[in-house]
Amino acid sequence: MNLGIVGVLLKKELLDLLRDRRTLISLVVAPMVVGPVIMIAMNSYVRRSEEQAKSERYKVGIREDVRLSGLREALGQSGLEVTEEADPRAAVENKAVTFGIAVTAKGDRPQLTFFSDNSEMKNSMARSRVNEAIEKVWREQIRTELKKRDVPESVTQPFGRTSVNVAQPRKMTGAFIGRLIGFLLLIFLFNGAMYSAVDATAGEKERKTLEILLASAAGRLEIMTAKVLTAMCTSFGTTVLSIASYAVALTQGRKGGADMMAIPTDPATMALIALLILPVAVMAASISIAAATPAKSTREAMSYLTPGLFIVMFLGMVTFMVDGQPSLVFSFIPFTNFAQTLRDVISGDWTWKAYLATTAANLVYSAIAVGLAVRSFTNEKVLFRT
Amino acid sequence: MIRVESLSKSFRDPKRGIVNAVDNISFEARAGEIFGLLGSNGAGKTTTMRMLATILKPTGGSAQIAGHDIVREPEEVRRNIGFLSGDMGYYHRLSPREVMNVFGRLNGLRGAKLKARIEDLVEQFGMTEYADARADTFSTGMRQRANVARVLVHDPPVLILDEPTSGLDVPTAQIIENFIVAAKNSGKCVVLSTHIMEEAEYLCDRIAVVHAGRLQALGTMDELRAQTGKQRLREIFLELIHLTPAGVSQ
Repeated sequence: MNLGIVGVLLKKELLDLLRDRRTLISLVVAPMVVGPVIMIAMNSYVRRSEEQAKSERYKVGIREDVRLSGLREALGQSGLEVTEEADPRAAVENKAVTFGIAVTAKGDRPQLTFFSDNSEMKNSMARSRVNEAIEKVWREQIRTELKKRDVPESVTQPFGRTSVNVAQPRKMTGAFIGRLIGFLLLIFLFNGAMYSAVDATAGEKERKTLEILLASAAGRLEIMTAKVLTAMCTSFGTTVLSIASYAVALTQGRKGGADMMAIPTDPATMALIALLILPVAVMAASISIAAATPAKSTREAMSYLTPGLFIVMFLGMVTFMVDGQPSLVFSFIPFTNFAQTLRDVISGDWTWKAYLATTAANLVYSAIAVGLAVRSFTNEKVLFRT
Repeated sequence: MIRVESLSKSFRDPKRGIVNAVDNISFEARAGEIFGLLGSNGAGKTTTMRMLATILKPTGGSAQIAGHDIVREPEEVRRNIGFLSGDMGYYHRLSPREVMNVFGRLNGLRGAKLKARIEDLVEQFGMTEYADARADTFSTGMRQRANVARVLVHDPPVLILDEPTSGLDVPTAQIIENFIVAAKNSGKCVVLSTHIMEEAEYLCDRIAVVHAGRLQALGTMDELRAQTGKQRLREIFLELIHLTPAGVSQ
């Protein structure tokens, strides 16, 4: 294989691809703008809703068949507006109040029944404020009763309690963001490769330029290599742009910013991640070329590749269902192994055994994918399917 | 320059079974000659051209171009040919200069030599005004000129032209015909496939009539006239496609 020829073809393929408006929209504009804009808008909406929830004076409708001392005062102190309601449940259902409390008698004690519409997220803030007020009244009542009986208050606390989360911030990040990043990376890698592969194979057939290349001084393997490399470049490029855009979007967010800061960026981790991505990028590019080459049109090629993307997404999502150290078997399931190992590397909770098993398995799979692409591109029955 | 011996191409069709697209075709084409392949649609012209251009592999026979075997030395063959088809598209997102640069580099041309060759072709085909413009706004004529320039950038000794004027208007077809004559005059071997009788009669030194994948006759216009007793190529062609391959002259 003449690498000089591959270089000339790669440059031509990239130039041709980057001048296509549809490709630019799919590979650059959409991942860089649409996703992050949606994320920023969602973050902004959630933040505004939370701020509004904090400052809002929720209405609590109350009916006291028996008097519970200090209840109304505690609710007022928690920033709630207390109103008298004959039927607190109906008042909540009619949205006249956010929360309802009925105080009835049960034996010699008051019985409190709470009414709320838990399907509305904003009501959770009102609920937590009511709980806070009730807890205060509860403690005050115990304290008064203990005092009456001359019992020390310490009996209510027979032992102390402290909870310590042993997970380092990096592991916490891996558990949440690592899963998401692995999944998103798989989508970006395949999406980037797909568009490029379809344009470079079925697109060339549609534009009737494939024969020009096949009759040129370039060999078929050199042409295919250049096309696979082009798909790899766009796959990498769109992934890097997407991740950078999402990172910026996340840092605009409330919690996302803090989480992203905990993602390790040291050279060793970056190298591990890059080595993990490389065979998957080769696989994505080669599979896309192999599947798109027999297609007569770009539409037909997309119809071959789209179900494949769903399979990749499903395999990537398995990571969301598996917790802790998975079995080594996962290292041999394509795409699942990538998402799983990436999560573990990001969280710092990885083993060489699993990492090497994943990388070795993906190298084998990528070699098979390259073989399929070669077979597809060198088979004239496939190439000239009419 | 081109030697074709018993060249065949068959393939399996799910509905028709084994199809012999090209069946035992033999001919020779020389330097400084325009060799015509004449046949109706589906006669096997394009398949023959594609085999000569090493795009398709023959299932039987052999062919050499400039001394190189099309199966054993396809890269060498492709370095010695320029292949143009009337059905070919163009790189719409690239300019003619960029396309010539790519195909020149693929053939090993570099630096000042490549630049000079491109400038020469730009001038020769009157592309100065649009050599750096993207081809998506080009007329058919501008596109065909750019295509011809792309074929010639490495100055190949053999040109394989598959219905190059198909679907073109008269002025644009004239540009292509002029280029074919110029190529012949400069000593190139031109294999031209066409189903336009007037074009074949006017341009070709020798004509091979192909029908149903088989060579029906081969010779100069005078030889074909003598063989069929007809004067015009249209009549000769119609006569020949009802003949058996017997009596083929070389």
